[in-house]
Amino acid sequence: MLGLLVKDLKLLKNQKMFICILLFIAGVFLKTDFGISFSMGYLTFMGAMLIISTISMDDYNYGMSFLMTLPFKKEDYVKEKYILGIMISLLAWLVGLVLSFIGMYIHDMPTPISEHILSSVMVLLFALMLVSILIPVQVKFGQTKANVAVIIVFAILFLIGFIIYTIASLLGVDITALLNQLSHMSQSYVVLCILAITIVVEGISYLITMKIMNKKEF
Amino acid sequence: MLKLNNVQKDYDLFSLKCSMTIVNGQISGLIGKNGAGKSTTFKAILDLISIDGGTIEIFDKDHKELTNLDKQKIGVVLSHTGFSEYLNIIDISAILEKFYNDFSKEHFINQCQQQGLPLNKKINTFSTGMKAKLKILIALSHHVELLILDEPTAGLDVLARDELLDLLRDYMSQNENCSILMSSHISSDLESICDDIYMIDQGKIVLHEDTDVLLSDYAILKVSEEQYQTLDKKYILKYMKETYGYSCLTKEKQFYVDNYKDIVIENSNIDKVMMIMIRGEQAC
Repeated sequence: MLGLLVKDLKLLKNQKMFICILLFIAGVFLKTDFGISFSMGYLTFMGAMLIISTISMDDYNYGMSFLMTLPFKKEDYVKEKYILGIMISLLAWLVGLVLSFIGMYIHDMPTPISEHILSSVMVLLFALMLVSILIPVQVKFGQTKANVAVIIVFAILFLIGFIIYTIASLLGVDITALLNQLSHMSQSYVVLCILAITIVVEGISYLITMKIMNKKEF
Repeated sequence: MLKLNNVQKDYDLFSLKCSMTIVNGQISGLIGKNGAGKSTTFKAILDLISIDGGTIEIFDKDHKELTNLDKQKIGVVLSHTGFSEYLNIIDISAILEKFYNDFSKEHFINQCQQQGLPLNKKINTFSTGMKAKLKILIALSHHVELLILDEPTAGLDVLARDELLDLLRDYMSQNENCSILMSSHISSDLESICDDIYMIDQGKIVLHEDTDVLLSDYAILKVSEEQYQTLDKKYILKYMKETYGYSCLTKEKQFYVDNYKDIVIENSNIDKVMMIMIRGEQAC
C-alpha cells in the first residue's frame, strides 16, 4: 500500500499549480470578513476533491489495467484511497483553519476559538461525506462517465430527501421544527452526531467501493 | 511456470477458449490477428478479467491465490498502457522501490541512463520508442521469474525493436529460469526470440509448434489446379485458393521435396503459416 501512497503523492505533486490557485483564491476571500468561513470551506472541499483526481489519473489511458498488475490487492487500492482522502482533507482543512484564524485576527473578529473550531470541524466532516459519495461513483464509472454519474447520484440523494420529507409531513412529523431544535442543541453535540453519521457513511462507502473493485474488470 | 487449462471467457460477440503451457526458461510467443484473443488471454492470466471456466496456474498456484510476493516475481508490459505519463523516471523508481523487495534503484536508473532515457522529464514527452524501452526496463527491474509482454514492440521501428529484443535476450542469458510469454504483430520478432509459438484465432489456439520446427519442417506448396488433384494430401494441414491454383501448408516439407520434384515448395515463416492457418480450409 505504501507504493500506492507514494504514487498518488507523486501524482499530486504535479497539481502544484492547482493547489497554488486554490490558496490564492482562499487568500483573496480572506480580505473580506464574510469570506473567512468561505475560504476555509472552499479549501477543505477542493482539497478533499484532490483524491478524486488521483482516481481519474489512475484511470487515464487505461492506466488501471497496468496498475492492477503491480503487487497489491484490490482491497489495498480501496484502503489507500480512503486513507489518503482523509489525510488530504485533513491537511487542506488545517491549512484553511490556520488561514481563517489569520483572517479573524486581521479583521479583529470576536468569534470564540472553540466555537470556530467546532464549526470548522463540521465543514471537514461534510467534505469527508462528499468524498465518500464520490469515491465509489468515480471507481465504478471511471473518468468519462463519472461526471454524469455524480449528477445522477446527487439527484437521487435529493429525491430521497424529498421523499423522506414528504412522508414525514404526511405522518405529521414537522422536519423544519426538528431542524430548528437541532440549532438549539449544543454545538459539540451536533458535531458528535455529524461525526457518527460521517463514520457510518465512510464505512458504507468503503464497503460499496470494495464490492465495485472486486467485480470490476480492467 | 504458467499453465492455462481450458480457460474460457465469454463476451456477447467473442469467446475465448484456450490452453497453453509456458515452461521454465522458455520464451513462448502468442500470435494472431487483431481481435483474435491475445489481449484477452493476457488479461485473464493477470486476473484483470474474470474467467467463465477453466483454470490458470502461475508458479503452481491458482492465479487468484497469488500473494503480493508471488506478484513481485512477475513483470508485465501491456500494449497501450503503463505508469501514469504525468510521472518521470525518478518518480517511478521511488514507487517501484516501495512495491518490490528486489528492486535496485541504482541499477534501474543506470539502465535508464544507458538507454538514453531522460530521468527528470515526464513520460508524456517521451517518444514511442523511449516509452517502450521504459516499460521493458520497469518489467525487468525487480528480478522477475515470469514476464508477460503484450505487444512490447508495437509502434517501434526496426532498430528500436531490435534494441528492445536485445534487452530481453540479455535478461534471459542472465536469468536462465525466467520464462516469457509475449505477443507481437511482427512475426519476425517472435521468430528471432521465441522457443515456441502459439497461434490464436477467434479465441482458440489453432497451432502450437516449436519455432525451429515451424521454420524448418513447415512449408508452403504452390500448386496448379491439376497438380492439386494429384497431390497426396495426407500431410496437408490447410489449403487456400490462389489465382494460380492453391497454396498448401504442410508440416512434412521433406516428404513433398522427395516425392514432388515439379511443384514449387517455399520455406515457411510465421506470417505465411498464420495466413493459411487462419484463412485456409481443411484439406480432406
